[in-house]
Amino acid sequence: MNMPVTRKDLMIVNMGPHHPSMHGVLRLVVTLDGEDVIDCEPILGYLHRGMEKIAENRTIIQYLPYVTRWDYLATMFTEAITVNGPERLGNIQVPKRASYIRVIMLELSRIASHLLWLGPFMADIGAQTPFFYIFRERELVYDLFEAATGMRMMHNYFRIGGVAADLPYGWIDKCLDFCDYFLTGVTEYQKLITRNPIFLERVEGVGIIGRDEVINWGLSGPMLRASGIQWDLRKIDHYECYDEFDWKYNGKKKGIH
Amino acid sequence: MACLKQEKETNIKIFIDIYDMFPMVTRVMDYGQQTVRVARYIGQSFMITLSHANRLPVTIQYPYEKLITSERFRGRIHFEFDKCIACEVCVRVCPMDLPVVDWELETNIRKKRLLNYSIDFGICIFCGNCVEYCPTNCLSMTEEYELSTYDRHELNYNQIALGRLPIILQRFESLDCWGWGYFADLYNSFLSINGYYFRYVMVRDYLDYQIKSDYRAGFDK
Repeated sequence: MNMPVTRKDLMIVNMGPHHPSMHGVLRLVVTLDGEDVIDCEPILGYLHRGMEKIAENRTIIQYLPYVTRWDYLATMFTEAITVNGPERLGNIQVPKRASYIRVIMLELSRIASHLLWLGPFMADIGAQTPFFYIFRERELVYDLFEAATGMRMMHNYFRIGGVAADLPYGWIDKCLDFCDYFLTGVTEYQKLITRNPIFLERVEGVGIIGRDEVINWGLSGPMLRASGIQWDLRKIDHYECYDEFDWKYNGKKKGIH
Repeated sequence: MACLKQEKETNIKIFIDIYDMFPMVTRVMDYGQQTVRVARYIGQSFMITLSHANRLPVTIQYPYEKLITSERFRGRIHFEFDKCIACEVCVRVCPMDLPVVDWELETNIRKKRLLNYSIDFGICIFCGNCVEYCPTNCLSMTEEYELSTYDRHELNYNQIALGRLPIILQRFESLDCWGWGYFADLYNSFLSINGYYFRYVMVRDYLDYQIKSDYRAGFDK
């Protein structure tokens, strides 16, 4: 009697476009060996909404509400790029105060976006609680945005030549309160996550991208800085009034992960 | 942190020198120290989670409690029929050319006459462009956001429906500190509530809503 020999084939699984964990729509066809991922083929394009085609038939005023919806997590950045382009082309001077307001809004958007990276990242690793903590902080950012622009997320705030309306009275104090509160939140996250041995074991040494690969594949932003390349568009591009602030590059000088 | 590590290493070195004959013992000591360190870090993280048991909830129980929106909140659009001059700027700046402005040119007086004005809130994205560019300020945004209906054709508001006062002024006349309610037919009722300083919350009290102050406003201190 022959015992049937069990063949061990690799399993190909489709992680379909919809995900339960706020990744948006990204289809991955992963090749698995047990639980280890051997190969992964992403299939993009599920978020294509025809934005360029729509833009062909709209004026810039009509199109600005659309651009906020490109990156719905860090909403002011898309407005900033849509508005900075015509300003540079037409040599339109933006008032200093409007430029400072834009910088504040952009940095708040950056905080909100990074928070929303942290939550699903921890959820993927298995820790579900930071997912709720970030939303608590993000709600405060939403409240600030609602007071200044009128909407929590899809602000239609930047205009060519400045900002739609000045900040309301007392907004700066609320923003400073948020900054103070957020520092305590960051300490919480550090205590919860940064030294956590489970987190470190999951993350240390995994998915290292070297310098050449980073440039070849066209990564940008925090991943570029994490690979050791000193590239921050705020310094390099000299946009808005970031030149007037005194700040340093963030991230590791050399090496990886 | 670095000096602590070195100290630990020297301690371990001493252990290795003395107990060179018992590698098992050193490995157990190492493992023990590691376990203690891991337990301490995990304990620290767990204390953060446990400290949340002492805090107030950050959620607002929506149907029974509602946030009062900020002054600039972009809710349902309000339209004053008498102020409109049928210039159609609102149509030209709308991302979807949405407002339907029905006018005709009266040749005898050589002016436009507005017949009907409607905005379909099933399509409107509440961007506020029309409100911003209206030359006569006949358009404004109220703080109503609960516009859902069972039939999407009911969302096509004509000028009468657009001209209604927002619900909150009809219910809480005490909030109408500038008395806009008296001029409901003449002025657009753009009311001002200091929403984002001390966030008041509408709490359901039996069948109606009461205003209470928001317990979250202290940032969970």
